[in-house]
Amino acid sequence: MPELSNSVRQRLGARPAPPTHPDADTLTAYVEQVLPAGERSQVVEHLAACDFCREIVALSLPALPEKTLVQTLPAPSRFWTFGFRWAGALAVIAIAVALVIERPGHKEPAAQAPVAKLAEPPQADSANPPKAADSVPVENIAPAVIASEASRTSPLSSSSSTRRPPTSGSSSDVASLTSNSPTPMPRVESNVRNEAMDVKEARDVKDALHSNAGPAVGGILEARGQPKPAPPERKGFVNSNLFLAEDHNYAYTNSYKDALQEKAKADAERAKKESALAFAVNPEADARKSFLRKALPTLNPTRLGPLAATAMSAVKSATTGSSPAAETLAGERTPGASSFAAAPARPPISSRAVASSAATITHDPDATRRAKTATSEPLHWRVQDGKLVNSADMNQWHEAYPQSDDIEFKVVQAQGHEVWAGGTNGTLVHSWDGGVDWQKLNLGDAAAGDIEKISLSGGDVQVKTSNGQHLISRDGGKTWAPLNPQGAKPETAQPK
Amino acid sequence: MKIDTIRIDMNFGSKPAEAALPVVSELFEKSGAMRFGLTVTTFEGILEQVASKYSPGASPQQKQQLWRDLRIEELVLARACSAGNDLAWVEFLNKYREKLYDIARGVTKEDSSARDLADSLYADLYGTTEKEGRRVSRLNFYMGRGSLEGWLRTVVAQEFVNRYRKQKRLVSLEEETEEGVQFSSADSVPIQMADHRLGEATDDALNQLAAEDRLVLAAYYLDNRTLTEIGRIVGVHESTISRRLEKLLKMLRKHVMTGLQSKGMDRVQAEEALEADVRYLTVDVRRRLQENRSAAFQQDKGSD
Repeated sequence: MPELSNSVRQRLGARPAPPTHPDADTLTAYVEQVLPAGERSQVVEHLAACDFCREIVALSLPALPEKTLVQTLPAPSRFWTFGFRWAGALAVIAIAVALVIERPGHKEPAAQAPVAKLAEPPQADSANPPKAADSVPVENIAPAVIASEASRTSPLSSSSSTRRPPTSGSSSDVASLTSNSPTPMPRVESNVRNEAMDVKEARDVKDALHSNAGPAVGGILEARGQPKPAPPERKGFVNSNLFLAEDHNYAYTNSYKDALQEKAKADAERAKKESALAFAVNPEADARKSFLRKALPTLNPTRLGPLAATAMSAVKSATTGSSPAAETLAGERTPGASSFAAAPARPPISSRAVASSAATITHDPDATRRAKTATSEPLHWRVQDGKLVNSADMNQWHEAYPQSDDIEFKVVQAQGHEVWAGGTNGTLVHSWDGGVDWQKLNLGDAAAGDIEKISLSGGDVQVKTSNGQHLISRDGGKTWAPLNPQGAKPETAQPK
Repeated sequence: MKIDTIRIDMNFGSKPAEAALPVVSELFEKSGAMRFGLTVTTFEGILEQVASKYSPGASPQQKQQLWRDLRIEELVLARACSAGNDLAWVEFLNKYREKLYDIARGVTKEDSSARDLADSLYADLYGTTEKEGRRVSRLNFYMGRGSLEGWLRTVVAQEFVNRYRKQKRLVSLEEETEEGVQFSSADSVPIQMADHRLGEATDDALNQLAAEDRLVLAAYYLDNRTLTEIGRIVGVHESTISRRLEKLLKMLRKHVMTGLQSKGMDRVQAEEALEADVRYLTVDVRRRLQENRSAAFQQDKGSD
């Protein structure tokens, strides 16, 4: 507000006041604004010149209503109200995420061999009977889950007590609820089980696990003459699906996990050194390490120096090593084994997963869609053992084309989200959205043999078959014609 | 407080009840004066007293309008208390005892002085002094133009201001010296303003303003009231006060400049005179203020 001139201020204060003052009634009526207009103007005239009455009027103003004061105060507990409102929802989401992450059905098979080596059957149950507290009633789900989760992170010394198999047939025991036989069974080493089961049985086990058919698992194992593995103490897991999924991997104790992680770390360091070594001698591959991992199997050690050749041979020996674990993992794409692959979010616990980019191939029909959803970058594609696989990080590979068609792929070519893959008997599949949707094409009756090469040039697609035929399509695969027909009529292939 | 049960004769007029005006009978019924033992004649006498004070020589219609605007129930309660009616005092205490302490606390901003002020006012309301053998209650001066609570608030404010000014006036030099207050030497010769035309032009400019504008200026620049307080005093929003102040300052400066130029100054001289120090003004501020205060105090006491 601008300042008043000193002279004006002085003259304003020196104005003579009227000889008479309004009484208390009149001032009250003025403050309450009930005076008639004429009388009000007289009071205002008096107030303009009388500081005494101005002071009385100012003091006799009624207090501001409390409502106004309350409105000016900040809301004190908004934050906590908001927090309590969403605490329940967040807790439910957290539990759901924890259950998804801890889904035991996605253990990496590579981890089973060392686990089996390190795993020891529990001590005689008669010598170490379970405590009464170990039998958690089904109703106590929440405390039991907490106890189970706590047992995962307990030290080695306490693993034997926390992973004790159930010994009683109490109906309140979760194990007895989810297994047909409440009798405790000796643990089976994982490598034995993996090696003993053939592919078909492993598929059956997988189907049984995913179809929630718990007793079928025991039946398969019993048919093989193997003792049925006793389920671990998954206190509180009344969900039979979760429990059965955990069943096959019960040998994972905390100590074994620790050992595996240590071994994985050592292998990772070794692979890192080898990669760095190869990186140093290959000046063309100085862009990204992922590119190096991708290009490493195609490198010819003879063209490199002796040091790089040594490193390459070391990597190769690690890949095709003779250790039981490596041998078990060498065939890494048996259906049964692939169903036990580790989830992408879990840390690698196998040296195989670190040393080679072709770590595991999972059979997850939604993997491509999820990968596409997670990133807009085109996926990496390749054909491995007749299967079309893709990966977002060159680390975890997923089978991209459904196996129900029983196609053996030979070649794949991708350009952005356009993916073309060819296989035996002139099979050609095409995906225009990065592998989410597929279209199977027929090159026509004239085309014979396997597709050995696919070339993408602009909007044209050229394929070469094992019979030496060169076919080209200029309309995205709808019609195909020989590349050099020499007067021959172009053949037309229609999508199935 | 011991309630006096002495019935005071309040027959101000000699008109019989049956001769009362219809409006008086109507207001009598509305006021509930019968429960305090007041008669219609007594009630009409109270109304006539109000009319004679605020509308002397008014027509019957003007008087009736004045009566209808009164807080008639509270007026009857106050007069009944003044007359010493037990029931009236019980009702008054129930309604206004706590409020009176709250009002005093709001005025003094301090508990002990508020209690002292409220107790002192209670004594005045009850009537501790006698005049011609009758106990004089301050409630007898309530005329019902505003609410009884508002009247009590105004009375408390008046009492507080009177006490404050009296206390400031009677403070000893020793006490102020102990408090570190320094006193300036007496003015030897009144400073004469170089040009008397500035004071005249300023007075003319102020006289041209409306009374409410001068009230706003005085409340803001002399009393240091906030915009909110001024808005409540004038009865408008504080934003209106802010805009009005800016407008008034421009108008004042313009009028003063015009007045100075009309008195023979050129523009530059007028601007220099407008920025002159107040010490050159021929105004004895202290004397003016003392005159105003004493007049107000005496007038207030006289009205009581």
